[in-house]
Amino acid sequence: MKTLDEKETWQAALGELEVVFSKANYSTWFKDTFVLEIAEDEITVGVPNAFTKEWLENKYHPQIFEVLKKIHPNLKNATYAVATNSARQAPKIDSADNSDINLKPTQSYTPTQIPVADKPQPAFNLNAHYSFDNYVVGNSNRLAMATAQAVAANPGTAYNPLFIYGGVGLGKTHLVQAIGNEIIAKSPKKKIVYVSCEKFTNDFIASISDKKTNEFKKMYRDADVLMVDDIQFMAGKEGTQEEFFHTFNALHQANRQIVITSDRVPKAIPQLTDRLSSRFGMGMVADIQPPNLEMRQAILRNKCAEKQCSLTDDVIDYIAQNIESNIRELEGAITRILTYSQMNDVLPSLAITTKALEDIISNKNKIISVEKMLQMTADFFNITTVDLISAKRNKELVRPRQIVMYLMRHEMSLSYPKIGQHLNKKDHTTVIHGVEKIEKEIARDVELHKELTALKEKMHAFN
Amino acid sequence: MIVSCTQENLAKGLGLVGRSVGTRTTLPVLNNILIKTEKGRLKLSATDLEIGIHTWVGAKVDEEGALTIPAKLLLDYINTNNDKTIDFSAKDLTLHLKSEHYKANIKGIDAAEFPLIPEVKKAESLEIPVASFLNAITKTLISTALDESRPVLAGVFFKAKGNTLKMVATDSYRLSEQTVILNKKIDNEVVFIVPQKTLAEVGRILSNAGEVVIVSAGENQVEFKLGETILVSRLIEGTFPDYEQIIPKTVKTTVVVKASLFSNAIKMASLFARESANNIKLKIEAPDKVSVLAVSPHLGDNTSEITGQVSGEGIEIAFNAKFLSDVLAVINSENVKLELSSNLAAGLIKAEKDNNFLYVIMPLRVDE
Repeated sequence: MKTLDEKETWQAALGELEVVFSKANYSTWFKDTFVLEIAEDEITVGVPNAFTKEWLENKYHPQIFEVLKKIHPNLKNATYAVATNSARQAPKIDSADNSDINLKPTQSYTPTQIPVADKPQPAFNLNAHYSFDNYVVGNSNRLAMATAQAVAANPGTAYNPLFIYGGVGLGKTHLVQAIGNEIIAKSPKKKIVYVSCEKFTNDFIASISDKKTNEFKKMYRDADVLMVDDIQFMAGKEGTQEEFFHTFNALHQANRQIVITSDRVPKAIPQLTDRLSSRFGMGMVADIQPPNLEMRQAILRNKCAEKQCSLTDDVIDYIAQNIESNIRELEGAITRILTYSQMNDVLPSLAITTKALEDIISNKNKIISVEKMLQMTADFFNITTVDLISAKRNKELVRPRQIVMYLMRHEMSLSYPKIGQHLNKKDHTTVIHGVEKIEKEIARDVELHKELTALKEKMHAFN
Repeated sequence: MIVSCTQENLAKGLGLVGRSVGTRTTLPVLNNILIKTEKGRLKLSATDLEIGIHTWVGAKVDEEGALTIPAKLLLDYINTNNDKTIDFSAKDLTLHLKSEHYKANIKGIDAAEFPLIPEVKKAESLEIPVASFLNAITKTLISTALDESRPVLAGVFFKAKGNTLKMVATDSYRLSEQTVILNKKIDNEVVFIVPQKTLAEVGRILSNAGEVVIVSAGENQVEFKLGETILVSRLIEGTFPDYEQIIPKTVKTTVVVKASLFSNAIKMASLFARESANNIKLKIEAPDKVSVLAVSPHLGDNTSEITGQVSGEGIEIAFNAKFLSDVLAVINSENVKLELSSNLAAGLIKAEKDNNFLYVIMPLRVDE
């Protein structure tokens, strides 16, 4: 009660004083002031420094006293003392300060590595955190994992080149770095070059402008293992593609391992020369698909163990149910929940989780309009919306039409007759047939499954 | 106010106080210097509300008075004026300056608006020879913490007892301690923490000669008096950490090297250490080999071998190059002595023949 009183008193006084003095004077002399103590007939005002104390005491005292007396009529005296507001809140500031200077290297520095001359070549940009051990394996990535392990065991001979593709945030980079780390752990002398496609491009451009093409070639062609991440960004860069082609050939002929990742199959990368895309496909092409529910749960548990936190089963279920397509987002969700629960000082229960993930998940479930869905599907298959909803029975139109029916049924939960209406007044039995056909085929047709995933991802991304 | 003063005295006085003028301030009068007649002399004052500084210059006072004048304009005007004597008079908040060739009117602000620079209630005064104080300031300022997250570390700790004063600073990565002998013994122990900015300013004033400086600390405030100049500053509140416990007691390796050679080797290594947070490595082998190494994954590597006297075990230890070059730049000794015990424990650097200064430096942990 008393603290409130002190605060209120000074707030009221400041309000009046602000009018009395000029703005500059007010902000200079009354900044960081507060009421330190109120006794029966005396008020002590806390001021940040001795200059302010002198000034208030000798110059502004009459005005301040007058204002305070209006609020506390019994007031006989006002004094000023140098004090800080924070010191008042934590009066024992010194005891805490006293104990904690013990310059231990562990405390004072983040451990940093000094590479020394006679040590093996430091691995380029590899993050030691990524290993096979902490990679969660499931049906969707078993093939990729197995080939990656084979490559790490016999670099250059098992599958060369290894081409891994999959959507955003599904663990391509993790897998590739794990290969690098595994090889380094076994044979530290190997020179591993891990670069993003962008870095390769930039290095190439820089080598031309600095006239150091020889060094560039040496750097890449001396590698025992060359790993290039996100090769699809090479699309359209003809010079870089040519240089990469030569690098690729040089390494491949010398039986050096090449690992490449991309977000789609080599053939599907636009503006990539044929000689490159055929070479990318000549080794092993492994895909990583979005994880299924059980795998997402396993990944979440893994991440929890890494972060040394425990989330209850229902929380993990909830996250796994709602975040489907991206592992990075799963991790983000955990971080978000932990931060949220720490900030609000509550245990991460299901209710808290729902709240913390509100904006991420509600976005996902937001339903896009029918028009937009038609539009996006048509775009995806390179046809027009008019054709899509037309009565034409060409093969390249029928399948997209059935897919859109399936999506409307499953993603938007529309009724069969309603779907029929949207598709140019088709009979509801036609719709039922279409939806069922896709449902049946999805189980055995991998291509269809991929198309659907990609399309759904696009629609979510649009939201 | 009617006063005449030599240009030389005035320029010197304004130069002393001019730096303490507030720059980023909402209150216009803080940009000004207070000119005031006092006991037949002219008193110049400036403040930024953290530091306040007064200096007195000789002048012929014909009429008492006071006025505040924009510091920068006055300073520049007086510095470019090459007449011998300048007469000035104040009337209606304007300062009229007149000398043999030049005349000027400068508009000022009423002296009553100028902040009152607090008087320090003195308890115990330390009399320190200027030369050794200046030396102590340069050697301790390098170790003060620049960020204000731990306010007590953003200053230099003074601890005086009997006739010795210890000045200590640390940013929790390294620590400087300099012992200074006082001119006069004091009766009670005094401890206080002076903000680094204040001490840097004091150092600047001290380098303009003088023999002895008198330092008096009161509650919240400290005063430095040098001849005709007084500087008043706030003190940092709080308790300085108990630093003595971290000064290493055991020594397994002692190295004496020529400071200039060592400093040069470090400079060369740090060229390669920029990418790796300034990490450089010392490889010390008895009886006389000291190598300084740095490696950069992108730039290359470098090794300097210098000779020194090594006694005790050989050791490999990594340091932040900056922390080494900082101390070598101020140590002011032909040879420096390194005392090390292990590659994870604090090392000690001293001037070879001077036990009054010590520098504790933490090694960097190296992952092999």
